[in-house]
Amino acid sequence: MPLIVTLTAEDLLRNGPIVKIEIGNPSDPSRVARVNALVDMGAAFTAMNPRLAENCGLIQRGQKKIHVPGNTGPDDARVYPEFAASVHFPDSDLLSFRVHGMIAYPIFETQFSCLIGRDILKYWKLTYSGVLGQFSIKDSPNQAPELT
Amino acid sequence: MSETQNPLDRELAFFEQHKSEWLPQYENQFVVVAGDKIAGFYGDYESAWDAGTKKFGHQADFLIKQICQHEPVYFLY
Repeated sequence: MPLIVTLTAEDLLRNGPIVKIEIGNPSDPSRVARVNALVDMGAAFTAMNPRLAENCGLIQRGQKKIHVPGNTGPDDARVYPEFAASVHFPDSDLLSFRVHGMIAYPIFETQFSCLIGRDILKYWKLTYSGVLGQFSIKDSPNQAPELT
Repeated sequence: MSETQNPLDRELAFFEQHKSEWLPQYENQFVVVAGDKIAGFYGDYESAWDAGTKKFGHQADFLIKQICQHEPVYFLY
């Protein structure tokens, strides 16, 4: 069953495609945060506000070099920490990720505190209708084995 | 978090030191490193994390890093 979100065309234009996401500690299932996430085709990787990593007690497992808005030149990419997290999409049948690398990056938005990037989008079929104010997400038939 | 406070500095230095010798056999795989110890090379992030927690423990500092010839730069727009 796809996740279908219906808004008004105006709300979808203003806020973008936002879904509920649960970020969790893969070592401690009791530490979970449920927040809004923007489906962002411009983001190579899924990112969260650093306070979510802190609240869930996530442990840094790496880093990635990333260009973010405001970087102006090819040498302006900065290094951001990468945390191992579990990812779940509540109120939907979308498959979860038991362990997934997520970038901690300050997101100065009130509507969402997470960006769903192309590292997760590669497992989805996303349909967006600006005219209807509706978008839908379903898992792609070629799912990766780590999806649960 | 600034680069000077990175808890994985030692592991990242170890990675840089050994990357060229790993590349021919393990390019695009994920290596797991704690200090100067390796927990192996894996085809996906989840398997690498499982191996790291099994060998070093859930709370230990360990690095999971994909082995690439050139360090990729990603965009977040």
